[in-house]
Parts: sequence; C-alpha cells; structure tokens
Amino acid sequence: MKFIWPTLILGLTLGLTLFFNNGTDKIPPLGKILNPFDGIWTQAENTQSFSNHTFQINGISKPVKVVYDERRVPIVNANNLKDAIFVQGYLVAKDRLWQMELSVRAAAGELSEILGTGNNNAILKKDKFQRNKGILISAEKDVLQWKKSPKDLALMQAYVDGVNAYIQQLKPKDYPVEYRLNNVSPRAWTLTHSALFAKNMAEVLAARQYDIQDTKIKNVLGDSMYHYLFPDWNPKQSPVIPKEHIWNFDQETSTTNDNSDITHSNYNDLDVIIPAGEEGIGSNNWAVNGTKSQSGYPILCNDPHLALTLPSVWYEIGFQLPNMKVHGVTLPGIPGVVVGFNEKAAWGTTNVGHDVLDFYEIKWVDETKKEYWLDEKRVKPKKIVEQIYLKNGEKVLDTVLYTHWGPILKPEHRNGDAAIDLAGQWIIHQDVPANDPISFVKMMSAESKEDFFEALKNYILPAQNFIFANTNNDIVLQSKGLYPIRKPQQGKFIMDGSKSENEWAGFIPSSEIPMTVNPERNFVASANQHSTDSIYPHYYIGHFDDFRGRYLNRKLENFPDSSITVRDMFRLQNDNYSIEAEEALPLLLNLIKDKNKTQTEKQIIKKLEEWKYTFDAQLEAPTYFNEWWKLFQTETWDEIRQIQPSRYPDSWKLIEMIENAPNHQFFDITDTEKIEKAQDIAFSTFKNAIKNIDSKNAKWVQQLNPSIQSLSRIDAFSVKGLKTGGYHNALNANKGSTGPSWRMIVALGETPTGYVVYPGGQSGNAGSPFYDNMIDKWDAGEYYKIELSTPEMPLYTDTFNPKQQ
Amino acid sequence: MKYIIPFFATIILGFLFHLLLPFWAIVLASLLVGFFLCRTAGLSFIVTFLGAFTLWLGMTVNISIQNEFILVERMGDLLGEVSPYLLITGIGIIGGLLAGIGGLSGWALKKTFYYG
Repeated sequence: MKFIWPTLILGLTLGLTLFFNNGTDKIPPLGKILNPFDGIWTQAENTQSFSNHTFQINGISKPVKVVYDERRVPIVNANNLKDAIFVQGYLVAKDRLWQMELSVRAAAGELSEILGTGNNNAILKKDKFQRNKGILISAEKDVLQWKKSPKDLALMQAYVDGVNAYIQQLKPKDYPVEYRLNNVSPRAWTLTHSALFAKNMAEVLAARQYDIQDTKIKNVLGDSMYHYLFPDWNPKQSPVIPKEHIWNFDQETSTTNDNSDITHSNYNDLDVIIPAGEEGIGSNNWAVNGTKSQSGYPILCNDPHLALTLPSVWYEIGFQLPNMKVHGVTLPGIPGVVVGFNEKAAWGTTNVGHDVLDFYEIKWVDETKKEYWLDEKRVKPKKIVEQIYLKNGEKVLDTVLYTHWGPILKPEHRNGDAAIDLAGQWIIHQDVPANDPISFVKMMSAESKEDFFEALKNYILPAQNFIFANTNNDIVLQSKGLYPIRKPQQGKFIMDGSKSENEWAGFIPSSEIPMTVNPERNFVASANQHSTDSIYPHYYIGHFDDFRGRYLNRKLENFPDSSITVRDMFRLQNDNYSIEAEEALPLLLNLIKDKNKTQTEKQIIKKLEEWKYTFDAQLEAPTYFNEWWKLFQTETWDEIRQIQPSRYPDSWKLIEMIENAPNHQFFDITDTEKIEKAQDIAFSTFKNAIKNIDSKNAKWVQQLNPSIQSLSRIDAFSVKGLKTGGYHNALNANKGSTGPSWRMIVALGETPTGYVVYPGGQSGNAGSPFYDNMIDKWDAGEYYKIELSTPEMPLYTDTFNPKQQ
Repeated sequence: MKYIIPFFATIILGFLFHLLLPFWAIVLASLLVGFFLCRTAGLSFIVTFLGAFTLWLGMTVNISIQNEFILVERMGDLLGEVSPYLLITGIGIIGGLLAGIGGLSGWALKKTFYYG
C-alpha cells in the first residue's frame, strides 16, 4: 500500500514533464518553448546594448570585418571576393535562416517534412503539386550546368559554405523561433538549395499564362470576338524599347499564320487550378542620363513590386573590397547584389512578363495511357518517382510522367473532369548553359556597359528588364532572358501535343533580344509593359501592364533637360496617379451625366469630378472610383464570367470600347430582357457602388488596408494598419499586401549616393528590434541615405578570423 | 527558516541546473530540495512552487525588459490575445507547477525509502 501514493506522484511528475516536453498535436511543447533558460527567449534580443564579437572560422583566407550601421545593415570588409561571398552566406543565414528554409522547401515540394501534411493534407497537396511542376528536378539540372564553369562554381560554393558555417555552430537553444514552434532543426544548405531559391523567383515571375482560360473563351465566343477582346497590342502602349527603335534582323523561322488546327477539341469541361499569376507583382525601373539630370550625372531608380512579407524578400548588404565598394539588396539564398550600386555604376531590374509556359494536349494511343502519339510514332512517357518525406518520418511516393513537352499535369491538381491530359512546356525545364545567381556577383564590380553585358551573359531566368547607368553617362536597358521563338499566335491556346511542329522553334538569340543603349530620349525605363512595339520581328505573348509604363514614359519625357533632381525621383516613386482612372473616370461620368441623381449621388459625383486621379490614402474619391469601375467591369463581362475558368479583357480594352462602341453587345446584361448600353450599366453600377461603400469607411487607405504579412502566415508576427496609399496601376503600385518591396534611388557622381528603404527589417527574428524597424519610413514614403563609406556610428563590429589549421 | 532555506535552495539549485540541462532541470532541482529540505508534503509542493515561480518569472521579466517586451508581446498574440503580463505569469506558473510536483516527488521518495 505504501508505494501507491509515491508511485502516483512520480507518475504525475513524469507525465507533466513529458507533456511540457513533447506537447500534443494541437499544443506545442510549452516547457521546451517557453522556459526562460533555453526556450525561445534566447531570441529576445537585447535592444539597448550591442557588443563586438570575434569568430574563428574555417573557409576564409584572410580576416573579414563586418561593420553594422545603425539599421544593422552589414558592411562586409573583405580582402577578396570569395571571402566576401562566404561571409555573405554566413550573415544571411544568421538573419534569415527560417525564411531560407521555408522558401526553398516551398519551391521544392518539401514542406510536409517540417510542417506536417496540414489540414486536409493541404501542405502535402502543395508539395505534390510542386513535384509535378518539376521545380526540384530543374534545380538539380541547374547545378550540373554550374559545375561546367569551375571559377563561378567556387563562388557559389563559398556562399553555400558560409551558410553552413553558421548552421554548424548553431546550438538547438539558439534556433530561430519558428524552428522551435515546429519542433524541427535546420538542415545543411546545398548548391541545389541556392538553385531552388532562384527557381522560386522564376515561379513567381515566369509562370504566368492564360492558355486554358483563353482556349475556353475562344471556344465559347469564337475567333473574331476573342481577338477583338484580347488583342496582342494596345494601340496606346508605350513600350520598354522606344517605338522608333530600328531592328536590323528578321525572324528567320517560318511565319505561316495558319493555326486553324491548334485548337480543335472541345475543351468545355476543362477546369484547371494553375494560378495565372497575381496582379500587383511587377516593378518599375528607370534611369535618366546627365542631359536630363541637374547634376550632369545619371540617376537610376528601381522599385520591385512583390509580396510584402516579414521578413522581407530582400536583405540589404554592403561590401568593401580592395577594388570595389558596393551597396544594395540580395535575395536570401543566392550570392551577390541583385539591385544596387558601386562607385561608378548602378543597376536594377523589373519583370519582363513574357509567356514562357505552354500547354499541350497529350493524345494517348489507347485507354491504358501507356503510350502517346508524337508524329505518328508511339512514345512512352518517362516515369519519375518523387519521394516526399513527412514530419512523422513516413514517406509518400508520387509518380510524375514526363513527355516530350514536359511533365503531365496530374488530374488531382486540376478541377473538372475533362478527359484530356495536359503537359506543360516551361522555360525552367530547358537544359541550357546558364548560371543566373552568379550574374549578381559579377554585377557588383560592373563599371562599364561592357561589364554589364558580361555579367548578364549567362543569365536566363526569370527574364528581367535590367537597367544600368554609370558615371560615363551610359544608360542601358536589356530585357535579358531565354525566350522561345514562336509562330504568330503560337502558345496562346492549348496546342496539339501529337505534332512536333507545335514545338518552339528554338530560342531568340541574345543579339536579338530587346535592348536599348543610350537612347535619344535620354532615359531608359520599364514598368512591366510590352517590351517592344509590334514591329519587333519576333512574336511574343505575355502579361503586360501598360498604364504604369505609359505614365512613367510621359513623366520622364516631360522633364526638361538638366532639371531632374533626387527629390523629383522620390516623388515619382511614390506617385499615386493612375492613367487608368484618368481615362476611365471621365468616360464613366459622361455616360451618366443626363441621369437623375439624388443629393448623395450628386455629392459623390462632385468628389469624383474634383479628383486628380491620385490614389492617396486619405481621399474618398479613389474608393468610389475603384468600386464603380470594378462593378462596371463585372457587369460588362457577365458573359465571360459564365465561362470558367476565364479572365476579363484588360481594362484599357474596356476603356476603348466605352469610347468607341458604347452600344456594343457586351454592355448588355444577358439576364435581363432589356438591351442595356454602356450608359445603363454605368448608372446602375454607380448606384450599387455607393450602396456598397460604408461612408464611414470610405477613405482609400481603409479599402487598401496596407499590411506586411509574416511569411509563415502568423498574424502575431505581421504588421497591420499602415497609412500609405497606392494603386496597382500607379507607379506606387501598392495593392495592400503586394507592392514596392524595395525602393532605391541612386544619384551617380563623384561620390555616388543612394536613397533606399524597404518595408521590413534586416532580422527575420520576431524578437528583434530590427524585425520591422524600417516599415514606418517606407510607409511615409521616406528613404535612408547611403554613401559607400564605412558607417561613422557603427552599431557593432563582428570580426571573422581564419581558423589556424 | 523552514520556508526560507528550501525556497532559496530551489532558486539557486534550479538556476545552476538550468545552465546544464533542458527545462526539466527545475524538476530535478526541486526533487532534491523536496528530498533533503522539506518535512511535510504541503511544504515540499508550495515552497518549491514559489521558488521556481520566482525564478522563471524573474528571468522572463529580466529578458523582456532588455528586449522592450517585443517578443513577449508577439508570443502573447500568437497564443491568442494573451497580454504580456499574463504570459509572463503563465510562464512562472508552468515553472512552479513543474517544480511543485518535483518537490512533492522528492518528499514522497524520502518518505518511502529513507524513513522506510
């Protein structure tokens, strides 16, 4: 009897300890996480005192000194490039390890191993979809290409070694909070992981296509209506390469325009969940030369628009080597400086947006689906078995079939039950010599325009409008990337996969890709619009935003010579003006000018009439316009909405139709007996817009609701309720949760000066004062000034000494 | 004295054990305190509870002040609108609870094996 109580008490002790050590499915291991000794409080950084550290480390040849400025941006002082890149890897890992882990695993399809399979297996499903797309396989192929150039490989390897040097010295109690919450440990970094990070960017920026939507729309509406609504060219466009540019080559491939056999099946059952790419992902960049600027030297500006997350997709860093001083941002996972400047030059980038992913219908020989037809020959698809590891240690096998075109999209990643199989041909699967990340290392020391071209020589993906300016007053823009050679209309719709003639006819040679050097207009600029005018000899399709580009080119053209200052560029990057509103609103107002209106309606019309088309945070007019314009599009395209999946025509097309064809059949609402015209739906949607908007909640910022989301979707680690305005078709392309993820303005000259900001902080640690410290400045449209010198008031200094062997 | 010695012993021993062992260091420390320094069951639970509560709470407060409460506020949000003060108190209670049953176990072991 006497042992019962002690046994019970000991049992309870053990049980409680185990509970606090292991947690349950729903409850995290609270003792392990919350105790103040080796729990997550190791990540509660001291906000007041900072001290210098010295590390002995393997993998560098000379001592490296890292000086942190007051925003805790590291300035790496190294003796040679390899040491500098090694330390870059170390520093990025130190600040962004979980982000690196998460981005790479998300791209590869390896999330289930650390996060579990998720509710309803959502995470496992996402992993399987990534495997189906073949991202991991294409990253592994990239590494094989890198290995062909040992000199570049050594630098990539130095970066990988630097990341691992940090991971290896990390004790479990110092793991980032998210590792602790998920009860997992970091794994070693590899070259494949760096390649995966680059693929991740390619997936965000180079996977947009409308093949399935457009095939369905064309099937339902017919050829001529499709082409009326979705023309290849916007007559008002202002392309990246000035219209007057002369192309001194012809497209050599056959230009037979007979594509009648490209779409022939009935695709009405086909429904696919491939995201067509988010709107609001885009960018602006421009550079003016000394003729335009007041200083006589170029000014270069860049603001990439991406998802706004904490931590940010960008990591700021400076380098001081014997032969170069650089400052800019990098992506955590690849070496170098993606957007930045050195003593002689500056560079930046925007997305090109060409469609580089096409779908082909596979024609099976019989129902067993063991062989498919290709030019009357039977071909067996190649089977690749993907192994997906789960958090509980189990393994899931998933077979992906690869055809001549690429992987077959598995039915589980599609909706609808159309009895056809589609294979995707995607530029990321092309096995061509390239090393995208190394371009950003070479760019660090680029001074002449030849250096710039040389740095980009092996860059293919994702295609970017790279701009470059230097103190010799050269300004250059090159839309660098790998682009398929297409026949007219090829790749807009699902193609017949049994005919090899439907294949891309190779790739556009680099001498023929869009490029402009020192153009007469004295500036280069891009904002995700069409790369060229329609006279460009190669046919291309894609997703293009024309409004920002038109506005940008108009503004830059209108600046008189020798006038542009850095202050003008601040204003331009934060400009909320939209040409879309400038063109659409007067037309809408004109359509309803003769209708009888209530007092409230008259007041709102007055607000709209007085509005200067700027999407400023505190105004109400943008809210009413936005709602009205949205409803107007929904009502106009009611016929298209019934087709699923589909997409609306571009809004510039609708503007053109109101102007030229206000009685067009599309303005009729099919559900009603009456034949509506543009003015009818303009008035009804105006009334509905007013009804939809709560007048107490009508300020634009209340609609936009700008916020910076945590990458792990943890609300507690996000920042909400920001004050900025913006609009996706304005230069300040703020869409609430996507927008200007990095703003940079560089005034070149004797001492080049940069003005930079991003909505986040250097640290990925939610317990750090440097987690979100730059958000307020970004929100207010302000900048930090950067000079290429060692900070006068450093926060602290880390010294890395090579370990004595 | 019969309260003060085991109370401080829990804090000091707990702190030292925590330098070497994971979070259950506090269970072990209070088990020893319960075994050697406590005469009654009630005492072994309450005193070690209070000692560990003070230690864990004090440490968390100290860390949070240096951190200007950044992390403790975010963690509170993460656990569902828990205020920083409540979270810090909760952490003290977890430490106290673990220590309390540890102390009680120590006392029970002593009762069973030492006094026979």
